[in-house]
Amino acid sequence: MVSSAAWAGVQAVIEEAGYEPGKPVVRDVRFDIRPGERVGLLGPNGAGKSTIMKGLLGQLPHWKGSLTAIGEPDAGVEDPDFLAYIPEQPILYERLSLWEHLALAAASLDMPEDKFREKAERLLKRFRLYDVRHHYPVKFSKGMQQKAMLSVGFLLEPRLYLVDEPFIGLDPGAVMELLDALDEERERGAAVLLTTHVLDTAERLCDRFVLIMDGRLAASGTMEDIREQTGSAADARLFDCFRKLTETLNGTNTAQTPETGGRAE
Amino acid sequence: MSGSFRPAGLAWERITAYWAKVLRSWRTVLDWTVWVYVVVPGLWIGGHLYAEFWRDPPIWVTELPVIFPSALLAAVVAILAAKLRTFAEEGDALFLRRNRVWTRIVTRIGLTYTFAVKLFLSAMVTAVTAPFYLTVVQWPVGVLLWHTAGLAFGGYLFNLWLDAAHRRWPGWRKYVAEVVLTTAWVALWSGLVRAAEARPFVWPALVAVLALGGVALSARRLRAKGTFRHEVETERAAYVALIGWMLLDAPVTRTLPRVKRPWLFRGNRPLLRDSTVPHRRLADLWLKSMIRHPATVRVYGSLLAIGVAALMSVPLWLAAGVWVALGFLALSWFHRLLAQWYAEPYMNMFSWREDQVKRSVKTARFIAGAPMFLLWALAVGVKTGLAFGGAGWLAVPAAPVAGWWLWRGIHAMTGDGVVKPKKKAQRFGGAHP
Repeated sequence: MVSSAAWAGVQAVIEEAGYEPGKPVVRDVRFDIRPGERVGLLGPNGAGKSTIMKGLLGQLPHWKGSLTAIGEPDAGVEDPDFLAYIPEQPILYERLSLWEHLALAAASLDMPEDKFREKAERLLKRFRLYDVRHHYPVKFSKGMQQKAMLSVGFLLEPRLYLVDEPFIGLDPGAVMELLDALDEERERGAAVLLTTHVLDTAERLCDRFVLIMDGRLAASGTMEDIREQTGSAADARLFDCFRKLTETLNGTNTAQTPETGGRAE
Repeated sequence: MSGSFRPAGLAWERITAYWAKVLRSWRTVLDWTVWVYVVVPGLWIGGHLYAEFWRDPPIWVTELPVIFPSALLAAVVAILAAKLRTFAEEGDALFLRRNRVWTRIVTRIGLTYTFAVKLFLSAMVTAVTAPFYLTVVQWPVGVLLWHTAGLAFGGYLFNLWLDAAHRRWPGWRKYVAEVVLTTAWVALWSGLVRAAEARPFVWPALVAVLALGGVALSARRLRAKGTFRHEVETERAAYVALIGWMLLDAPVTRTLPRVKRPWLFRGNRPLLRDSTVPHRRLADLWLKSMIRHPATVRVYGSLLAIGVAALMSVPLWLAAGVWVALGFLALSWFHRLLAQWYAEPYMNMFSWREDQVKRSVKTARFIAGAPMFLLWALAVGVKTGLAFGGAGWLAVPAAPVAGWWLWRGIHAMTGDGVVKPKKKAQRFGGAHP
């Protein structure tokens, strides 16, 4: 496991990122994530959130950018247990049981057997998957598969979690379990970068936000920063800020308001 | 779709579209080079061997009781095209299934199609074995035609039984039912053939009973409710059965396990000793996942059987070379499987150290290939014993011992550089100044 002594957060700098040469989907996005922080990566469909996630995971064919440790250049960002990715669509192997999925994850870190057992049992009990630990997770419901992925991610105890749309497919109880588990991880010093479309939950959950529009950074910071940058009222919710930003960027002021059901002039 | 807005038109359109899709898929593999270099020569050689075989059949063929080939044909007719086809599609849930009359007509056409396929299949397998029936046991042509009709009606009845069993029993019970029904059908057919052999007048009655049984079960099937999901799943499985062979080696062909829990190595029982050591844990998990995969086990069994057949059919001096060549062939196959395993999306979620991967690969492929190579060694030993007799039989225990060391040698010679973990160099660093 990486030591936490030098851990002061990471800075993500994305100069250009995309799927084809010369056609960047994301440009000039820069943000940092501090230990124990939850940062919401938000934006409309097609804004480039998933591209940023893939870029940070090293899965993009065209990527010009970096993820570097703040302060200490050798703080372990290239260590296998530095980050854990929890995808929106569960990624599972057909012929392995849930326990064996966890065993594979543990093998990637050379985790000692006794430590693996203790952590795996604790996590599976937390996510109420212990009784089905020897079942094939590909046969689980979507919500259970999502919890299985969370168990794998949490087993690694990384410094940084990249969580893609964590609330899709989870029932309210599972969402609460996820939030509790993330809180525990936060106390440990782990940071979380999560993407979501559920703005109300993001507002309650995240310390800071990174708003992406058309592949560029539209606003970032705390809720107060976002209000200020979007020119929203002091009591504006994240949803209002987001709408305001969308209207501004679209050069129009005619978006439908959910409160009135009419058109704002 | 214009002109097809009748149940019969719709069914016809679906059947033709299905076969057009299957043939299009096959054409991607069976291009002219395959026809010229593989299929046509294969048919030519196979045809000659077949004609040669029946021109002067071996003695054991002439002494074969008639129920043996009949039982075999019954099994083939049952196992091939065993699905009751209705050509149901996902979208039918929106409108078509609300129209009971349309659904019944489309299903009836599907049942007719299923019977037609069984009839065609029965005719084909009968044609292949006709020399046995007509020249060896000297059945009249009329009896052979009754036999064919009986196979077709019986095979259709079997499809209806199987369909009911699949709808009724989920999970492992479904497979038990499959085995039981197939065994029952083959035993029943063998008994009927034996009874009819001495009394040819029994044939029409037998065929009539099977046909009536088919009609009765068809009527029952048409009245069955809640079959839609099963039908859609059956259609998907039927399509995969026809085109799946083309993609056997591709990692994208994925089949979900049919049971919730593994049958083998339940409760995370390790296969290897010291499987708590990370690289052995990796090898252990790979081996377990492969053993749980029926397609891999089938290929393993086929390779083993083909190897044994090859070793037994070549001269002894050549068998040693074939044995080593088979070892390399098996090793290259394990390499491919391991490369696919490390390219799995789940595996790619983690960073693997290269030394860890290499050690796990070496362990996994050695253990996977050892039983196969040692059984081939046993075949070489038996062949030596048969060739020389007496002291030659000492080769039976000696060959596996030699095989063990030979396998280690082959394994050491091939190195471990084939499978490499996918690089994730782009994740950190990149081109940022």
